[in-house]
Amino acid sequence: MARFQENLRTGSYAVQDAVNRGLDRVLDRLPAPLRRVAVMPSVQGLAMVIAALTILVISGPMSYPAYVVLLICVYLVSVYGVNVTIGFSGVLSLGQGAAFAVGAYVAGILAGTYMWPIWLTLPLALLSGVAVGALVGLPAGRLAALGLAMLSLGTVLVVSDMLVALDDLTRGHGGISGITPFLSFDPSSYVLWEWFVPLVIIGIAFLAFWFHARYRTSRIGRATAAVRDESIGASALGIGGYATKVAAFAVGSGMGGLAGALFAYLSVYISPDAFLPSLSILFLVMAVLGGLGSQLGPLVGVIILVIVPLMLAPYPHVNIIVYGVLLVLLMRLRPRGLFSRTAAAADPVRASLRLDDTAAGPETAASQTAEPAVAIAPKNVMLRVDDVRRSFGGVKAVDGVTLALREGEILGLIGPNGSGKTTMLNLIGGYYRPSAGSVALDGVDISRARPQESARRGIARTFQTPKTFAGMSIDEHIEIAVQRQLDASAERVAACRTAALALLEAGGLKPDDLKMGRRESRFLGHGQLRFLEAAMAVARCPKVLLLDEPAAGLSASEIDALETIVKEVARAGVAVIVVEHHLEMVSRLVDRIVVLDLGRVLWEGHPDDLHDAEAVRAAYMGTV
Amino acid sequence: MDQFIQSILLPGLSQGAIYGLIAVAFAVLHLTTGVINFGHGQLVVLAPIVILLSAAAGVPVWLAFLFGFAALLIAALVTEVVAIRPFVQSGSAVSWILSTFGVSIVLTEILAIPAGGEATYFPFGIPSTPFTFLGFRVSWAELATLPVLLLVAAALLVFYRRTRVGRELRAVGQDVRGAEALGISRARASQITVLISAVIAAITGYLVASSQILMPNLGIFFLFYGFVAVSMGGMSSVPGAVIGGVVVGLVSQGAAVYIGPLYGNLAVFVLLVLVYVVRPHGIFGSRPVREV
Repeated sequence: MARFQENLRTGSYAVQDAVNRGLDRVLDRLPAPLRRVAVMPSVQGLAMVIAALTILVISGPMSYPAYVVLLICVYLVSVYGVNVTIGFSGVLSLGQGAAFAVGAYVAGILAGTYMWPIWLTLPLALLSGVAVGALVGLPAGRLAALGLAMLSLGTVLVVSDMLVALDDLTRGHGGISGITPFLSFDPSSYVLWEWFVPLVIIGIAFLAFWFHARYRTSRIGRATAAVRDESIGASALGIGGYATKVAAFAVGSGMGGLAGALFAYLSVYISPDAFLPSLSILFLVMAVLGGLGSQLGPLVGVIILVIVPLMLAPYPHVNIIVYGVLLVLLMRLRPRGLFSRTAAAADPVRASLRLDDTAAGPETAASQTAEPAVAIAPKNVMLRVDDVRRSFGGVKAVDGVTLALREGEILGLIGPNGSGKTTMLNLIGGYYRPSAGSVALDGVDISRARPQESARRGIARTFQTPKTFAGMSIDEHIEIAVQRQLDASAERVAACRTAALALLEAGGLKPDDLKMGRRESRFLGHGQLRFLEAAMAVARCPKVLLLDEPAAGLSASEIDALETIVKEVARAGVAVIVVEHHLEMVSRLVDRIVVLDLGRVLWEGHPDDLHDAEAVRAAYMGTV
Repeated sequence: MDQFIQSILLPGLSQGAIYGLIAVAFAVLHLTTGVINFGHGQLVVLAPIVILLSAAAGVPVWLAFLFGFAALLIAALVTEVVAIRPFVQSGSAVSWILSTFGVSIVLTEILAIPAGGEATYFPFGIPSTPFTFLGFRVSWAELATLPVLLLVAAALLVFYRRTRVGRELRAVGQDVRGAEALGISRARASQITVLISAVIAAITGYLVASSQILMPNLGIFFLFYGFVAVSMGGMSSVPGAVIGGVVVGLVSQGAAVYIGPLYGNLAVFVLLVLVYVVRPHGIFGSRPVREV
């Protein structure tokens, strides 16, 4: 029993991972051009359209099977919206039904009461959904999952009240009937053709499917997924989380609003009874069952949860109980739903790094390692830390540190545990604000900057425990980093990219293996994650690179490779600070060492002189 | 003024105390497990509905009460095992929100089977016939709620400060691993907390049934109102939950009277937004420290 429970906790993804590996294997067996076509969202969407049209042609557009197919298409639009909000951004919205209801009523009132044309009602319904989502999502910067869940639940209650309260517009419990598509403001322009609404619905379902996939691979979509998986790691790349969440809310709700409008046209008549709170639950369960954040999951979830309840229709209550039980079971057994792959398509690593020439890759980097990386001419001061202090409560973690770091210089920051090394990095990176003193990057004061602002100005860093994005592929990690590359000379960019590739190589991440590149980083080992994180930091071609204990957990040969690459990066002009306990590595790697103790600079000098310094020995050993 | 007391202050305080009781139960559970039970609103209406059903089936009233309480305890303990214990202080809110939400869906729907979702009147409660007192129309059912809330809150404060179990429950809330290292069982802590919240739910349910008409779908409103109340107080604070509940009751009653009966939810929603804008961590809550 205990073992069973342990399996539940640790091995809970085994089933889905097996499913996905199976899918991958099938895809890998296809010839390359066919495989590329099969995973294209437009092709998958077209297959969906063809399937739907076939059923409609066979059974007729006004038949019951056709209604089921169209209902599935309407729900698809809404549930792909849920997938954008919850699946991509990780914030919980329990309120898709509210956006759906608002969209349905906007279209219903405009078309049913005022006879507005369909080409106007659908966009307005979409916009009304966007407005609902943006309003709920606005506090996303200050709220965690729970707060947003409750706000969205609140909108469901409020909207269902308003449908009745605003009865001048909504006609209360009586509902709105005669919702027909018009082509213009002329009331005689309504469409008699019975295929019209079905074709509009299928067309929009296709667009929603395609848009959902495009959104995920767009710049903002990747940023959204990165923030979902590891917001601190995302901020180190210069990605602020707030906008991605509000956007995900607005876009997801917009799709809900549009789906609502389609529902209004499909049903011709709407009343508040069609928009009970259980509708939001239905959308949610559909997305969760299919697999949040995946590409095909919502499709499967919608199909299952439209057809199963229809079969259960003779037994009232049972299908809603099924939703509830499904939610509990899914959370207990398979927190990722049927489809667990959340990584999206991305360029292979080499293509992202624009290092398509295989021969000129890491070999050149390795061949130039012999020369020392000491600066020949005096170079610019890149980072200036001036009398910085930071205290937590009464503890002075950093108590007046002054440092200057030149272009291309490697500085080792060492000291006993609790001496303020990581705090120092956090002060430079913007994770903490200095209580006093200033930090200037390339002459610009960044003491008050937030982490993503510092990152955008030219700081890249790694963390003690790698902060990579568990649900994204290696390819995506590199692409997202390259997208956030900083301005630098062409030579420096080339050097940085070569180094990034070399880091992947050194970490066993095989940049030339396309299968490896598609792997989600949650399957990688600790050492691999360290190298992946370092490769992301380096690929941005930063002005200052902060490495927090990069050698921890690595083997001797991996450490050697890391050293070589870091020297390479520094030679290209990047200023590097390394916090490290591995003193041998530090002495080999760095140009200068700063020893911190109790938040102050205890000693500063060349690595060769370190072992003679009495004060350092005292700090480490406690004796003189 | 009299009009204000009669139509807003008295019913607002009385309803607010109900929300306060729900919020207190949330606070108790959140303090130890970090979880908000989305099914708590259903637990509140569960016992009275079971009592009504049993009584209608001819069971003696005292036995019906026993059945009701037993059903509540079983539902609470099952919720604890499937939806709360796996997520004690786990930090991944999405998992427990969805799983407790799942439980609430199941409970609502099971309760709706016999009643058909219809409203039912509960005859075994505190008398709700109004009488005139100091010129105001009041009833015992209405008057009872606030004192009960204060008693429950006081009892909890003593429990948390003075008893060993209470201190252990707080310790689990502060640091599960640390508490486990001292030999406090996470599972037992979660179970005890859920039992306490079930007892509070039973008391709340009795008060609710005495003063208003029972409907299975009341649960979602109780969830929302109780949540707004507990977030005003700062999630884990019992006194905060009491104050929050009273404020929520007054605001929703005020909106219902001054704007219209359908605007109570809207007013409470606006209140929640205000809380989040002005003080996201509540009146008694503390701002969490960010860790890098």
